Amino acid sequence: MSELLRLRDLRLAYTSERLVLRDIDLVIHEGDVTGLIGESGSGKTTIARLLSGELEAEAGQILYAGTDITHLRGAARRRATAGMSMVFQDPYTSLDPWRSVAAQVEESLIIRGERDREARRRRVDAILRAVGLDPERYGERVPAELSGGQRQRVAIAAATVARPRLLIADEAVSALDIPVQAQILNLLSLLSGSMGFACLFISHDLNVVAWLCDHVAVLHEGEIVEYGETERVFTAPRHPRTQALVRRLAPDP
Amino acid sequence: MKRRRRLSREGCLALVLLILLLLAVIFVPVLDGGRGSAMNSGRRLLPPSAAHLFGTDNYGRDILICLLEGGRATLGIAAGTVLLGCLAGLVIGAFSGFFGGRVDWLLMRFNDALLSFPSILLALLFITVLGGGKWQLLLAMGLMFTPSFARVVRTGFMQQRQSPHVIRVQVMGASPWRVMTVHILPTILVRLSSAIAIGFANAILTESSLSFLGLGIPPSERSWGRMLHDAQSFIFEAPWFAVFPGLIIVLTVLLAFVLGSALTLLRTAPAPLNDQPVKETPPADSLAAELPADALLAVSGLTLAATEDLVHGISLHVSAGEILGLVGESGSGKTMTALAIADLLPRGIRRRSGRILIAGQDPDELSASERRRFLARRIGFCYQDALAALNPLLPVGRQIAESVRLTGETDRDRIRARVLELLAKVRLAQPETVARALPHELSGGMRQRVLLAMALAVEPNLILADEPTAALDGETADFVLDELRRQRGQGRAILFISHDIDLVRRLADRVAVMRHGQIVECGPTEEVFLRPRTDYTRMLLASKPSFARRGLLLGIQTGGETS
Repeated sequence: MSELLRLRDLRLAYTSERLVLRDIDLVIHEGDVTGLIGESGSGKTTIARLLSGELEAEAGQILYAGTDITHLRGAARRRATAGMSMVFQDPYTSLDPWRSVAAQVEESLIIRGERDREARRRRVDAILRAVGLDPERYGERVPAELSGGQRQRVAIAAATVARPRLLIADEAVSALDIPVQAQILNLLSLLSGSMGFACLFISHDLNVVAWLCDHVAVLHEGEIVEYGETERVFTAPRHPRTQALVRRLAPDP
Repeated sequence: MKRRRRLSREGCLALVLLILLLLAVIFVPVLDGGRGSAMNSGRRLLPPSAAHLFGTDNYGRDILICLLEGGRATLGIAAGTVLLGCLAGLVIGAFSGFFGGRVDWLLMRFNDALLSFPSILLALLFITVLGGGKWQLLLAMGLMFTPSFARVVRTGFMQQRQSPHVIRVQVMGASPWRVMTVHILPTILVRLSSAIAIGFANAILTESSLSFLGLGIPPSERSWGRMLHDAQSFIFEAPWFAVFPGLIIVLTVLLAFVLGSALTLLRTAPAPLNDQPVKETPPADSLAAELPADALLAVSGLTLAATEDLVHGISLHVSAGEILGLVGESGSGKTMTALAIADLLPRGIRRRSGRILIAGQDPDELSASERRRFLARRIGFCYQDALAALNPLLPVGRQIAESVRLTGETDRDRIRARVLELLAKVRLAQPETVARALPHELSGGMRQRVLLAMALAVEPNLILADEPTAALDGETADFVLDELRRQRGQGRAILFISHDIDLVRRLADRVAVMRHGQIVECGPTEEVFLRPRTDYTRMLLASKPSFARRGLLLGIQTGGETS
């Protein structure tokens, strides 16, 4: 599989004495689901914000589909990062409260330049069905008329309707109750399999990452201390930090 | 299901009255055909009568007709002012708030300069430069009102720019123009609508004051403020001349304010709906369990209600030296149950039925003050949000000391020693320094330890722990759990509330599974986890992702766990 995203020696400091990220190296291949694990303050979300362009790295490179987007801004960045989309933790703030579900999903297609209104409509209906929401019943609702889990489905539909190459999911299931979380995880797993997009799945929950991801990177105090295939990381962790995390997973005797 | 928030009844009424006023202002003088506002020395300063409802003025003009005619200038200028201020404010605020940085700095300094001038003075300056007249007044007032609109718009744009929904579409590749107009502007307009109504009221007041002072509308024209100005000399002779223009100004301004505050309520996005509750009848035997002799907490038939029932007749008990885990989804009633036990139910939620026994005593049998003391002494409450649970202005040592005092200790030195002992007990290094610190000076983990120290300070019989580790990272969470185990070892009863079934499995001796305000299953931990008796518990267990379940769909029961 070819390389889709590469972070090379990324470095960022909020204050002069404290590095938030130090020399982050990470590769995500096309279609690969990579989990990024870390405790709060470890720098997980900072990485997401570097990818979304909200923050700019001080040193290092972000290569996306072969283009260096580290310092790209404006229209050039938008062109280069076509195919990236995001899903956030809070299903309540990540949708526009005033617009209908169908309109918000359709917006992604408009942004990506799909001109044909009929084609847009068909694709919106198809993706809503794929995430388990009947377009007839839910399409014209506003987010307030949906439960938290349904909203997260809409957010996933909006993120995937335009066939992304990379989905960045920042704690996308952390705010959900376990039964709802289970449905969303099933959905993400099925969609990434059938649509073939790569995913950077950021989470503090080891169990979720262990279930969903092909690869795992463990972030600790701004450093990736372990990276590998999920099977290997969870059965034979190398770094003491990972060992401690994995040990905590096992129920006490 | 309500689709969108509707304007409140007062808001609707104000809107209707304002529209009626507007129609009257536009059409009545036309229908009257200039007869009422014509000068007529024969009817000077007549008091209100059937022919002239509001009386006549010093030139014999009908005051009602004049008011409606003058309303054209007053309301027109107010509307124009708001429109001008709003448009200019929208442009300034949008660019400032969306682009930030240097653009923001420049525009906001300009804004500050405008704001720092007393607005009347500013208007005077403009009028002096531009000369008197309707249009000059409108322009001056428009400029005066721009900064306040710009602020509202800027704040809106700045907040929206960082909202996940806007970042989401930006990452998809939406252009700045599209983000501003399609994704941010509509939310701003909702926010702006109340500012417009309130700005309109203020503009009426400003026009009236300026014209009253003789600086606004020139004598040849008519407005409400101008009429007040003219009425000054006749205040004793013909009070109605001044009273009616005054009244109509007050009334219109009030209506606009009422409309404005009704619109403010619209601005918050509609509240989320909860899923409809599905009732599941609990198996009879799980509730009929006999109360053991050493139960420190016993709850029976507890029903809590707001507008509808939140908790439906639940029963549970916790014995000395036992941890009962209460698991359930958000909204299932776990926290409300704990709050009811501690008699801390929020306003609006009441206990409809049920008995609670704590260490054999029914708190309901005590007087209000006795009950407060009793509960404070017997229950240690450990909250999830440690920052919210502490007084932000008191050093944490003093807050713990208050708990220590509840045990009856009055000696200051002994209280102090006990506080330090408790801080050391929850493994806070340098207890003296921590005791002097304010809550915000401590980390989240340290605050949770302080809260635990407070709960332990009263040497309670019962500890209510409501998601005490949900906000904590590994090490501190483990410490809190270990401490709860130690407390169990000392014979305390612990009600441990959590949404995390793994955590409950590790900690609790018995588990109660709660759903939609009912306990659907209760039993020894391993029994519930290995042989769940309800579909809901089975589904809950099968929903938990883990390494062992890789490749399997979640939420679907597999053979191994349910046998």
